Amino acid sequence: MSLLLRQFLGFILLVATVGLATCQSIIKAEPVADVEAVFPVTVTK
Amino acid sequence: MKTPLTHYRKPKQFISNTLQRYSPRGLLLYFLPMALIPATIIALGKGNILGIIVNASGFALYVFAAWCLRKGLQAETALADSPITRTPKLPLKMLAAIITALATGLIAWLGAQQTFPVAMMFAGGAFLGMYLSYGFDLRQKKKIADAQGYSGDEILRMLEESSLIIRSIEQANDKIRNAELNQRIENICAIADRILAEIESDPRDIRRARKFLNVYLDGARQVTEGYARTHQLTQSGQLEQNFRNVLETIESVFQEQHQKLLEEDVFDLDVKIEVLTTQLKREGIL
Repeated sequence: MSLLLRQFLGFILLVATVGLATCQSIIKAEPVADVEAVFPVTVTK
Repeated sequence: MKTPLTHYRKPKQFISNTLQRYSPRGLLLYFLPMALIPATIIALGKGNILGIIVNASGFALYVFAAWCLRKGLQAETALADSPITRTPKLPLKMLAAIITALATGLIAWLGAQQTFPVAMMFAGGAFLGMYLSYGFDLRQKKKIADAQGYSGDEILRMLEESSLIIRSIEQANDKIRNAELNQRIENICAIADRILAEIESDPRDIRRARKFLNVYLDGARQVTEGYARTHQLTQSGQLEQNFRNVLETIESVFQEQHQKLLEEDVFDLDVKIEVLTTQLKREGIL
């Protein structure tokens, strides 16, 4: 296997594993999307 | 006439070190875990203690791994330039790969909440990625051929010791606050490095250079270290002038030594050409 191909494969593997794990970690940290869940608004009729 | 400071040639190894220091190789590992910074902040905002610990420690592990990797790559370049260079005690690139795998497994398991076997696969993938991208540390040192009754290992050891002496002269030089003297000492170190490189490329020079390695080089260190210590205590013009005179002498001796090694090479080549010419004449080719 040529050095360039080896390094390219290594790069892909690193980006895939480290990138995926860290990005999934953000998603699991669950950024607040539902504003009403945090600041319940009571609507009076 | 004084030589302008800019006319001094920088030793090869300094240029190489500078290039390696600013090389982008290995920087990827600093950038990849950037997502952990917002992840930590979000975990902090939500009061998720486990999230804070996992993401923050994961980020710290990646940064440490990146530091180890860069140091390992620098050591590898220095070793490729010269076999005299000492290898780091720890296999830094291997250490970086292990830490990266550990951090990735940790983040995947506790941060991304994957199952343990899947987190292990993440760790394995990261380890393999590190190996394929950067390889592992070269622990095998280059060999130097036996010469003049010395084994290759003996010659390598002598060169290593001499290289350490040159480095300690440089360290002492850092403590001296005089640009002119600093430049002279740097020049002496550069010549000494060139002499070592000469011996390294042709170990037969070792016998002729022994006096240089044992006497002059060590003398230069003692004088430089002594001056670095004493000039901070006393501001004596006479002391400075004496030191300057000694440095001039050392520089001329070193240059002479280097010249001798080069001339001997030319002499060797002349002899070889003469022997070859005689042989060709005898064979009737010339």
